[in-house]
Amino acid sequence: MSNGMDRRRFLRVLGATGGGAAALSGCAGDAAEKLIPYLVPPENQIPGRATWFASTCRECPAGCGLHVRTREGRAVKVEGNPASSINRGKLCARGQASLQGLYNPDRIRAPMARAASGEFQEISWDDAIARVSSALTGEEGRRIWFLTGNEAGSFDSLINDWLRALGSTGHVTYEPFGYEALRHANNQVFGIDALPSYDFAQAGFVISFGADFLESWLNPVENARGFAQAHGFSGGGMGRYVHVEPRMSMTAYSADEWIAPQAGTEGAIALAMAQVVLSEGLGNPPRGASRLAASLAPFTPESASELSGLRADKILALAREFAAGPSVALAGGIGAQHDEAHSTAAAVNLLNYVAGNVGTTVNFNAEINAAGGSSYQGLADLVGAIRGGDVGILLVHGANPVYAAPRSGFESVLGNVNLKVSFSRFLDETTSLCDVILPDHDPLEQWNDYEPRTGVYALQQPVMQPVFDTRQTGDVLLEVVRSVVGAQTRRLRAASYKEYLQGRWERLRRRLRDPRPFDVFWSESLQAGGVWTDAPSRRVRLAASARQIAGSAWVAPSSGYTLIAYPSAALYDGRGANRPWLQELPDPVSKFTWSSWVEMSPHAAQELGVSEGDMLRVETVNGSVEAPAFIYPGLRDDVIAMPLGQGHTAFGRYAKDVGVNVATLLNGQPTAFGGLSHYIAASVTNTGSHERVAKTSGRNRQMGRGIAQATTVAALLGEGVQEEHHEDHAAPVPDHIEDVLDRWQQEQWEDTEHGNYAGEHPRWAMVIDLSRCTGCSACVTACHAENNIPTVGKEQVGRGREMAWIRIERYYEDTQPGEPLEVRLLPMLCQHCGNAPCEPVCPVYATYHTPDGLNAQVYNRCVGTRYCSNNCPYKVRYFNFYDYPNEGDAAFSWPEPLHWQLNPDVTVREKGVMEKCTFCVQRIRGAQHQATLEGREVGDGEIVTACQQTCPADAIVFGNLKDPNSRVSQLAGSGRGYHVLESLNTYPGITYLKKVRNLRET
Amino acid sequence: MGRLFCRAFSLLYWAGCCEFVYNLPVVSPSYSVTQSSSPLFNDREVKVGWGKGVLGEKGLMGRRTLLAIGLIAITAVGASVIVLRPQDTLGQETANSQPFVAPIDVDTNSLRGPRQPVFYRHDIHAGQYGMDCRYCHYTAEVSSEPGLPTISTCMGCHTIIGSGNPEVQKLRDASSEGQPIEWIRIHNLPDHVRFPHMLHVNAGVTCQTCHGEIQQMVQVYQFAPLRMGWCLDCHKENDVTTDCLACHY
Amino acid sequence: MATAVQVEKTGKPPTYARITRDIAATLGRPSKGYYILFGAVLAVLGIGFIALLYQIRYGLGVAGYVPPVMWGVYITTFVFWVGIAHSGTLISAILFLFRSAWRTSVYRTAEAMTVFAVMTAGLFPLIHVGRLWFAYWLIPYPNQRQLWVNFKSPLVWDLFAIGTYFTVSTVFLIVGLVPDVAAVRDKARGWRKKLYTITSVGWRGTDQQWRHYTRAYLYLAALATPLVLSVHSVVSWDFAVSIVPGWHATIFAPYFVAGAIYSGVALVITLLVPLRKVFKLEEYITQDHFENLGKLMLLTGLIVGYAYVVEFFIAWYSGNPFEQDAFYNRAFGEYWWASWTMLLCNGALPFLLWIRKVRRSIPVLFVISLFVNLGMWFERFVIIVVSLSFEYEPYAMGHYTPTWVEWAILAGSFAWFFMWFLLFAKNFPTVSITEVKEIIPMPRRKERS
Repeated sequence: MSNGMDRRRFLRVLGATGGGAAALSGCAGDAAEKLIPYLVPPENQIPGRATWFASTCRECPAGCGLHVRTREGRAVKVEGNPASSINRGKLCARGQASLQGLYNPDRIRAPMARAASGEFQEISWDDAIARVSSALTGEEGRRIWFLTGNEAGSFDSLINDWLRALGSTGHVTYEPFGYEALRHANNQVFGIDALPSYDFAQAGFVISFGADFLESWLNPVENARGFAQAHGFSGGGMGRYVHVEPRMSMTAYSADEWIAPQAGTEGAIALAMAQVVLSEGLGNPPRGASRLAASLAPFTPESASELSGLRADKILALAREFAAGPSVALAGGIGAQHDEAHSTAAAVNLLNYVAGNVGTTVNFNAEINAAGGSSYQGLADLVGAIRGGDVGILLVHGANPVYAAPRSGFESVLGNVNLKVSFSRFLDETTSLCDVILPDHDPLEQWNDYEPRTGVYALQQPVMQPVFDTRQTGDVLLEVVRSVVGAQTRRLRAASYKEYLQGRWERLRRRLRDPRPFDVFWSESLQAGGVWTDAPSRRVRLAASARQIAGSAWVAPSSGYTLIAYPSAALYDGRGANRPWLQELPDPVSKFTWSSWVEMSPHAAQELGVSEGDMLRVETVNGSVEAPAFIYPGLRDDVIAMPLGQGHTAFGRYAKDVGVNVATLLNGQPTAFGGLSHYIAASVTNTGSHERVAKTSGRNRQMGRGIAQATTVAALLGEGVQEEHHEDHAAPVPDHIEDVLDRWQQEQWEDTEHGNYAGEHPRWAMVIDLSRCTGCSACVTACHAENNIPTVGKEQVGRGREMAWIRIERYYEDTQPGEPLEVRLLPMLCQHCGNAPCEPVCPVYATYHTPDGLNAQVYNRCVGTRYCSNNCPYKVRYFNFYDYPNEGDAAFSWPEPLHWQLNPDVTVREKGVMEKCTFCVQRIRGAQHQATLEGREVGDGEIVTACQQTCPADAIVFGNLKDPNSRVSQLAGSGRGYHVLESLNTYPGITYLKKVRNLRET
Repeated sequence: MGRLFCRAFSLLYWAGCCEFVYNLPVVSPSYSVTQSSSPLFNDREVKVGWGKGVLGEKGLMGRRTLLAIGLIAITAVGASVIVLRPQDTLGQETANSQPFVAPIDVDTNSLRGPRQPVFYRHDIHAGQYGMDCRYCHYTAEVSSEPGLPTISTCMGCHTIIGSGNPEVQKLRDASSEGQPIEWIRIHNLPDHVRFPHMLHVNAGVTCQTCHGEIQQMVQVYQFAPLRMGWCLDCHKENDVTTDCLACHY
Repeated sequence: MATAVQVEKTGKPPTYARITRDIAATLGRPSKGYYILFGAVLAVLGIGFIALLYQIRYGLGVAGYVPPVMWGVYITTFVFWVGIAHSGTLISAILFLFRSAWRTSVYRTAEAMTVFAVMTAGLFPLIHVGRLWFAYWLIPYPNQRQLWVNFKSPLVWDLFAIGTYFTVSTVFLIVGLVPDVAAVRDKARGWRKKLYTITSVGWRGTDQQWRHYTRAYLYLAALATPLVLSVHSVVSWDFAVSIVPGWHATIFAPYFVAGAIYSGVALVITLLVPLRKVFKLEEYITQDHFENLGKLMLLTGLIVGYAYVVEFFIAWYSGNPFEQDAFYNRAFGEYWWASWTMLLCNGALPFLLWIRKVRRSIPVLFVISLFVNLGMWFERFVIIVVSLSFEYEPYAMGHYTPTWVEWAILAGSFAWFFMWFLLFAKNFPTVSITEVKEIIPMPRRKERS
């Protein structure tokens, strides 16, 4: 449909085999249509049909399993691997966006070295390897250091073997989110320097002391699944969740109660709760617990109340609730990692321990490998070593400390290193300071494995030909070491990294006592995406040091604010910043895109005379940054908050110079627990200038229109609580009118009983459970990936022209002054109305109603009068204001090779055309075609929309409403169901199930 | 339904044209010049004269010419409508039964269709030797894409057969160099159209229906118009859905 | 009845000869000023055209649309021009049927204005669609795709309404011109001569011709009259049939028609005042004419004002929260300034016209007419943009501000209109010679003393 780059040319390119470089040349975009056959028919590939490969997501340390859909040899979509015990077929937005890492236009396309001029210039692989080898030969072993990210698995061991062979022990792992506080506390209380896994599904009561467990904390996808299982309303009832943190994070949106104590005093509350539990003999504390009584005694609710500002009786009530049933307490994530975070974590450990949760909901036998033994202290030591001149050669892989730890001094000392080698895929801040770059494959092009948790062995395999002239670092290292010292050890004798990997898996097979012969074991593991075994049981007892309870809290500054630098839900630690999808993904809290912001409570803003969008200068002892203000009622008045992840000075066109890097404001020196403190005293001044913020939220309140409705458990269990009133339903429709409407509607249907509309047709419909939706926005990115939705950039989003077909609406509820804020979330997409206002107004039938109940949008018929959008009460129609697929256009959104990701089953829309959610009609048709070929009906659950497929909380269900047995029709009939703006008589195809709040009177 | 509307509308349209032509304001010479009582012509300065315009001195002639023009216009419109009507009967005739023999030498300049990098002859392979289309287009039954023969498929026979044939030599070179042959696409649907080959093939639609008597084509050319109306005619005749979202998404 | 033609100091009414001479004189050699003005108009038109090309090349993104406001300046201006078009037919057709003699010296201008206004309005739907090159799909014609238009869509009704109106008003104008053109025909030389001979379709002024002519004119007037009401009703349905709060109202048809005539009369005044000066037609276009136009404005203005009040009342009385919010927002929301401009210019200003002095003072009328034009443009802006910016979905509410492209095209549309009008004024009699003559006493032969 568009002339820039289109499905057809896409297919043409994909016909070609051979290296990425070869295929690239085909992309130049010549006018004549060419058909390029394969030289040899590739295995199990049918042109025009998808081939799936199992792999593992490496966007964050969680290690979710992937299923990668490829078409004609190109990865076009990633989905979760249902077999993976981590994510069970679900993915987060970052995982969905991993494709834009693979096809990122700013990837390093060939090895490079710094020329005399200081500029990088491309060199051959042989040259690059020769340079490194010769340097290594000349250097003495102990002066060779290797800095990596969290590489739990074969690659980690390869690096260790490799360094050993070179006579070095200098392997430093640096993961910006190292959870040092948690590990330190676990070590102190249980003597285990590791992270347990948490069983949310079992926990009827969850209390989080600043853990953003649905965003970045450990395994967000896994957490979300378990949490939804326990907290989503199902018939009998639901779990309860209390969030304790000075800032209301996205995770806290799902909380039934948000408690905002004095910043950094969560630990005191936890201790007091533990003290209550123990002193009142609640729960089922393990035998050792009593030994804690004495040391816990001083931490009474009263003292905690004094410190935190939370009422003592409230703490009491919480403690009793906590002890009442299966529960779990979670200690701070990165956003709550202040100088005293370890004591908070320790307190939470004690709380879990005395309530008897350790071993039930908190399992140390299945350690989560979120940090890979990394610590900020380790980086600091490395910096020390460099400063001391002990580092001759530094090799960097998968770490970017220059950006993530700007105050660590790493950047400044880097000059002392003779040779700096980077294996990065992108020209990030650290890499741009290196001398030689040997670009690694993208994780989707690699052979590799990863152990995100004890007993979980996830495999990665190349899902397609490399896009660029890159090489897998494992292979490079093996080649290098062979040329430097020759292959001494048996392991390093492996011809390729794949062989090395298989060697380890052979050993794994023996360890697992797997009866299958290796090649079977290997190929079957590859197909499955890995091996998932049960973790060994493990007894956990208190360590001696457990009784030394510091109970110390973060000391809030006497003047100014406490600045909280929290992880961005979309960009994680900033490694997602070069993915346009993630940049354009509205932040679940602020709904800002393509920028940083300063969160400030309305009261504080009033004092400073700040309104949204005003540029604020935030100043700490370490420096100052400027960012637009975001007035947020979910914040204490004495706290301001800023997201991490933006403010790159390199890292590609999409990340560079977007927002500010908050890390520059934080203290560089490691905390007592060897981590980086994300709390710091800050002052704020209003610069007076104003920025047009690129946010997607129009108004923050529902104006009583009942868009996102909620109810309470009490009301549902018929305990006589009256429903909330919505102006939308202010004037109830009298029955006789109702009858007329129904009859009219009936006639409408009868009128259409001919032509395509004659006979039986399904009615595709969707149910969205608001008691499960957490607002994580994975569906938004999944939709982008599936439906070729352009990213339009900051300027256009600022004009409200974002194209995402599904958006997560975020509304603040008006609450009494004393009460905490309540936030409602609602995924809004085309409602596929049975009586759609958009249809009659289209002069050319570009939008109309299909026999199977879809609200169709025929792009090639659309003239662009935009009346349909005016008449759509849900405002879910999106207009192509520019020619986004056209290379010549300013708003061009698929610079090569990004467009290789485009879904060949979906038309790319040109300028002047309206578009909107199609219920993934290409998937519907695909399933129908398959059913026709097999001469059967389409079964329930066979059609899965992209948003539904990825939703970690399983909040979305899709199916045929006319089939009484389908899940969708059963759910739609349930008591919680409602339609948005029902009074407009649009008969939407989407039924929302009311959010359910589990409130307790105290 | 829409079609019926079309017909009705075009009729009205022609009728309108006729009306227009007949009612054009024209002057008849039968009028006699008389002193008018109208105020305008009491003014001696104004001379009364004939209109010299498109209609010329003789108004009636004007009327005729106009009539003629009008009628021509009408017939033109009518003709165009008829011409625009997509042909229904194309591609229905079946291949004759007696074995087909491909012509030995053909005037390649007179052939329809683009010249391909390799002068591959469907009439020899599919026609004379009666090879099944699906031998090369191997995914037509299972996928929306019919599939192109890989060079290895061709070389399956042509490692032995066809030595000395320059075209076969091209093929062998390509295979030895590992360079795919860039065929020129002939049947080219717009990007906003989905054509699932497997459904059509399995529904018993012959290749010839859309691609013509390809087994007798010395050089392949686009046989069917491949326009929407053409698709719709077939869909309607066979009572298949004409829902937009069947093909456009 | 106020005398339609002013009697000179001498007390003698102008002779037929002088009328012809005076009015034919307006077709004389254009002054330098005319050329300068015309050049300026063409320049503005050029700018507008460039802006349009720019928009076609890069897409509608260059305009200021901020979803959910998907219609902006273009549709506003479209409705504005369609509205302008209405007074012409009213004055020429309806007043003709009512035999009100005062129309004679103003109706030609009004009619010309009508045709050119429709010509201008007709451009905007094209300018505003996303894919201009496919706009012809709105026309129902037999096509190979076997597709048809959606007659449920008001946009299609619009197409027909505007089309009909343009045809009828053009025919009406041309037919009305015939005798006058014939009168100036034989004076003219060169290409003008040709032009006039064609347009006067062989008019010789015989009794029979007059008989046919007057009847034809009468029929055409009768034919045109209902259009005055129907066309703008249809245009109003563009909005009224939607479910947008602030659009979805039954009062729209009468409300729009009244507004249309209101704005139309205003523009007639705006045009007549300078025309009268430049062409020295003070004798033919007198204070009385302006007073009558003033009265017409007063009437329609009051209807419009009433409609405003009713809209707000119904919004409150309906008990529909969306309507209530929408109208509260209209008055006190982000766009309060637009709404109040509208209310002041259209609602309050006409009350001045109760005063006879005001109605008879041409400069004051001129100023008022300008304000009314402004106000009526803002009325459409308020109805379209403000309503759209504040609909059902609170999360999807946006604030729209036009860009230079839209302003340029708006200016271009005025230039386009005035280009045609200037051409017309210099090449065709802007005051009907025939009809003016009809209303002065017949000259008699002097008796011998």
